Amino acid sequence: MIHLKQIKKSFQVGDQTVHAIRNLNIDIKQGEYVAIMGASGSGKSTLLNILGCLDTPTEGEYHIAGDSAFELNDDQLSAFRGKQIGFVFQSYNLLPQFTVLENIKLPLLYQKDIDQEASHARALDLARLVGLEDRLDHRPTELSGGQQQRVAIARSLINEPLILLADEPTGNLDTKTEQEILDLFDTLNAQGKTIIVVTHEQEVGERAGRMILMRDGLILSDTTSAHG
Amino acid sequence: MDKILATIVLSFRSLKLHKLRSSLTVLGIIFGVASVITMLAVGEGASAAAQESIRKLGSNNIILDSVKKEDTQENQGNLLSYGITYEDIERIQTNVESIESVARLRLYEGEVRYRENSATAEVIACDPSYFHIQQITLHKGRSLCLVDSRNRNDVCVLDSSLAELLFPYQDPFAHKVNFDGSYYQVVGITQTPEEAKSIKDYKVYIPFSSAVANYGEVTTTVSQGSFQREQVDVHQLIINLSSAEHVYAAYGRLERIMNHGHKIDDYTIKVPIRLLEEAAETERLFSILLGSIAGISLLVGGIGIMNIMLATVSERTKEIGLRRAIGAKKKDIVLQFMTEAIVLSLIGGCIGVLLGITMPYLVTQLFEIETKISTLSVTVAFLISGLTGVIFGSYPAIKSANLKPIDALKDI
Repeated sequence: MIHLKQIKKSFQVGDQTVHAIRNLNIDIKQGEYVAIMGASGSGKSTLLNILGCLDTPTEGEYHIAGDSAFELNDDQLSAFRGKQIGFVFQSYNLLPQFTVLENIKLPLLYQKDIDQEASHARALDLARLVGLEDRLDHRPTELSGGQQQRVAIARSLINEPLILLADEPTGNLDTKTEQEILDLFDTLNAQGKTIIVVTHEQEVGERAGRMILMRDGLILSDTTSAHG
Repeated sequence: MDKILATIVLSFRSLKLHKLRSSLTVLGIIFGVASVITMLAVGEGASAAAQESIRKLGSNNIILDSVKKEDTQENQGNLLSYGITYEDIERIQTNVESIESVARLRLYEGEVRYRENSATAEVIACDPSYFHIQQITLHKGRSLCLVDSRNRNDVCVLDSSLAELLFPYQDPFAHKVNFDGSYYQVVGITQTPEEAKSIKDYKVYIPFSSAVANYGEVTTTVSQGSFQREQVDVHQLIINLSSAEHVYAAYGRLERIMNHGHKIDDYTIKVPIRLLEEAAETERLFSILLGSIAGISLLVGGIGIMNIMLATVSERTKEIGLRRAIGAKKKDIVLQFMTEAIVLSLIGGCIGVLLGITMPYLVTQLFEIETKISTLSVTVAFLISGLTGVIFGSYPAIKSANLKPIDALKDI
């Protein structure tokens, strides 16, 4: 479903050209649970940005669900992100002026022709799935970190995206809450959701069926574990 | 439509998050809009009052007044003679075209009495045409007529407040009032305009010819132990022309005639229509001046909005990044921040309009200055407040939309 071919990405920092990604080929199938791992500066975040259509590589091809992502213009990319990709960030990025339910429903704002009732029902289902059905009218500031991240996960799923992209989703959480979030990912993956997690934590990476280890903009190893 | 409504509702929520900041921003617009409306109302009111008093003089009229000059020469026996003469009037009537009618006036002031009731009043000795030219409306009885003039009848018309004062219980029409030794039968009572009632500006009208017969051509006043005798044929002459368009031509003629007959300027010529035009011009300048002062305060308000929106944008960079990540297009972001700016300025506009409508009322109450709120100024001020939001909101909005999603998300 996801097809990255000879991806290169370089930045200009002063006089120097920094090669964040040198040459990358990855294929990810539907329903896979992939962890992209590496130390900081390994290029994993750049890769995530490219996967999430937030950034374009200097060279290479990216096909996702049959579309070539680089042939889309800015508006089409926005629409594509909104429909096909669910983002989960390290710092949750919930909007403080809105309630839990409103935050979950936020991506609907940018979708055309929405069935209001159906999407409301889906938002409630998702709130139930992440265990926050009794916190719908709370503000993000009234929630714990774990709860906020659950809201963010529910928000990422509201448009039923093809992939869930998580950038250090447990980076700000304690071990117990981390486990809960990872359990939630397991559940989602078991339901058939494609999940890509970027992390530098070994425990988080090990929960995924496939582990891609990066260093200096190259893939060091790509291992699929037995249980995945 | 639903989407626009939703955007508006959501922008309210975002603004509510920073109540103090939003209200301070709104304050700039409130004062801007309120001052535009108030300033224009004060300007409009002042000119309306000026124009009304000029209009009362009549735009078809030219008014000549006799003026006593310091260097007016005394001729034989301390007799001071100046001003508009009967010859002048004759020449005017034969040489100036399009005259509808003229009214000669002599003005006296003194005590008007009926038995024990008396008041100081202005006694206007005038031709009957005066009533028509000045559009004086009668409350009861009749006005002065040509027969009164011809027969030098001792009759008078009182204004209603004076009539009430002199005849609290009696029927005025059955009695005579006394002024300077002569008795005048009351034949009419005029309608005193509402605004004149409080000023106690009493008026009595008597026929011009009767005044000449009763008081003669020469008035003698005693001052500092010496007699001073004055001869003024006519204190004021009102020339009523058939239409306003003849006024300027007639004025030119009139100036030449009067210039010819008088060695010194012992008269003035007043042209109400010219005053009216001058007043209109003054009003225009006044409105521009006041409007621009008020406009500057709106501009300052607008800059306040831009300032706050810029702060908001840099503070909410992550929000912008998130919104872009979950599917917002550039134009969605522009729309969001524009809506916030417009909502802010329109809230300011609404409150400003309310304040702007109240302020002129207070100004009138406190300073007794006439004000006049025009619907146009309210509409314009409100629309400008909205426009301020659009103009000053657009730069921050476009700036925010042009942020790259990843750069916006990186920002902490």
